Amino acid sequence: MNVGKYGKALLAGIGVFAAMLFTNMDRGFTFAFLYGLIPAISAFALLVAKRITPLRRAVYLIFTFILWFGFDLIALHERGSLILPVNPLTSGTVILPCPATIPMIFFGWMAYGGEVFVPGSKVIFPTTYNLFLIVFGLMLLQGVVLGRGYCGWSCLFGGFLETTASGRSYGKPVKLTLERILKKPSSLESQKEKTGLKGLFGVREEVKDVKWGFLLAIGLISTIAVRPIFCEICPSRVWNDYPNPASGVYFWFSMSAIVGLFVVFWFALPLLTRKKLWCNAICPLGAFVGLLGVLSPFQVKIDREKCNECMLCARVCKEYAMTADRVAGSGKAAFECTKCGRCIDSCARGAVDVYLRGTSKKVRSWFIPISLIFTFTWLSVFVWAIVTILPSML
Amino acid sequence: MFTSLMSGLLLGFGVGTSCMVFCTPVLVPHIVADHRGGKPGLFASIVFSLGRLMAYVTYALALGVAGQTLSAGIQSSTSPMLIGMGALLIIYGVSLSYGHYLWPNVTARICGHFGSLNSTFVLGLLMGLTPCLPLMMAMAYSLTLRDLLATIAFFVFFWLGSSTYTVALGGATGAIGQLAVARLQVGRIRRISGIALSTAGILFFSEGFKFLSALSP
Repeated sequence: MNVGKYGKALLAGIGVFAAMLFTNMDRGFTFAFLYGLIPAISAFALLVAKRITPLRRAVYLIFTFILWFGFDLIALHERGSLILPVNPLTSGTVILPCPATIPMIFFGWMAYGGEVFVPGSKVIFPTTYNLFLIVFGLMLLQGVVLGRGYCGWSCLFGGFLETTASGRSYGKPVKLTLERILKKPSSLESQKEKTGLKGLFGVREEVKDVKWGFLLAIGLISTIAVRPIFCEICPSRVWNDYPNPASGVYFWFSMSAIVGLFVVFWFALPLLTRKKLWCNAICPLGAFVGLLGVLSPFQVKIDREKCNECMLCARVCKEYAMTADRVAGSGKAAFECTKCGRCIDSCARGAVDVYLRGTSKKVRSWFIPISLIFTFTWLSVFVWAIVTILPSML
Repeated sequence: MFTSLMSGLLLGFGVGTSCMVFCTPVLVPHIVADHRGGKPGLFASIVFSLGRLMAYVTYALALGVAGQTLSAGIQSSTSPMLIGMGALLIIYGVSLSYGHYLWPNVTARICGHFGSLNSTFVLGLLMGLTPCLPLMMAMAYSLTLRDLLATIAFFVFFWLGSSTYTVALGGATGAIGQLAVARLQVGRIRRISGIALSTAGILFFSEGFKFLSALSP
């Protein structure tokens, strides 16, 4: 179906507009219409651009800033503080559910029943129906449709990591290569090959499996306890929902974990390696959407007829997903691929692209507007918060 | 006496899912790592539950004899028990996942030891001895009974009620673990289970510190 760039850009706008009306967030037709123009314009710009990486990063950065600014505004407006109460899961506390927490607890919540997140607590969404649709339903749908494309386009963590891991990911800008965690191919014949392809075979399985073990433990405990366990050590809490100092020893334990994980995996390692090890090997949210993404119709693949195995796609990949053995072998990006588009932009021969899974049909021009629908739907909650709360606070 | 039995059974059924909060993150990776298969998983979870039974009978005897005096002591031991349990799980988990890199000489012995059914029983015993919320509710009720036999009977039936979920989970987990072997290498499954156990151990640590904060003046 030849819809054209204008049609696909319009799809992005209409998708966001419809999502806001359907989820019944009661923001009014005017806001929905005006806000829907932004994804339409963004989609058009991305579809006409020769290289999408700079534009995607700009959108992602703005998304991250607005999300966390809006999140903090809501916390200050509803709770009066960015510090959580000593026991946050008590009656009267305002809960700000994030996309990471609701999937963790939803099944347990359904099993136990209950009208709200925690009996007596106040949730920022008008009803639990909205909570389900926006946070859990959207998360599920995005995971199934885009898979780990969520990580590359609308992750609440990923935007910050995009910034700290920015820049060329090979050569002089890379101060640390983390060779001990990278795969070492034993089958290469010549020393020249081994030197030339050093560090391009991705992360060792022993390291990548950390996210699966993490997800298993957190998923089990959170489902049964109906408590989002990961939140206790979530690195994003360096700028919101601080644990309460009155908790005593627990405060120091929690803050140490939060700050430690943030400094190491969100700041230092991405800055020094220019890669996103957190997304590849640690993040349980990425593992969760990745599992859903086995159903995703989108897949990054190499056209073997055009490819000359220059390995530039493997060098620019920040997720350790496009690797030398995949370029030479299956031609498909690994499970950890976030469909960020860097490999596609870098290929001089146009050999890499987003394909419909199992076919040779290129579908990147559909992937982009669909990604932006999800990105801007998530963002709408926080844009609305800024529009309604900030004027009264100034 | 009949009232005690029924109270224990109903309380066990009622809070059994809360019991699973503590037991599941230990039991599931343990079964997936070392007791894959429907029947082995079921058997392992029964052995694990028998360990819990021994712990509950111990508490029943202690509370039946010493009563209120001991109850406060048991509650204050929550924090060190959780921290100790956390440390044990971290050692077990790390040995299972990366032990052959970190301490290769002792890994085989540690994993062999933890993988045996004896250790499954000991794990259940330690988990049962770690005071959790459902157990504290059971203790609080048992103090009202003022009869040793009734207290023991109450705890046994509490165990019966709370173990139904755990045993069912064990069988299902073993079966799923066996299916996973068809798709993944056994070594990888064990590594992921070890990481999950280590994570659970760290969370037990965290809970232990929370209780420490709650109890400190």
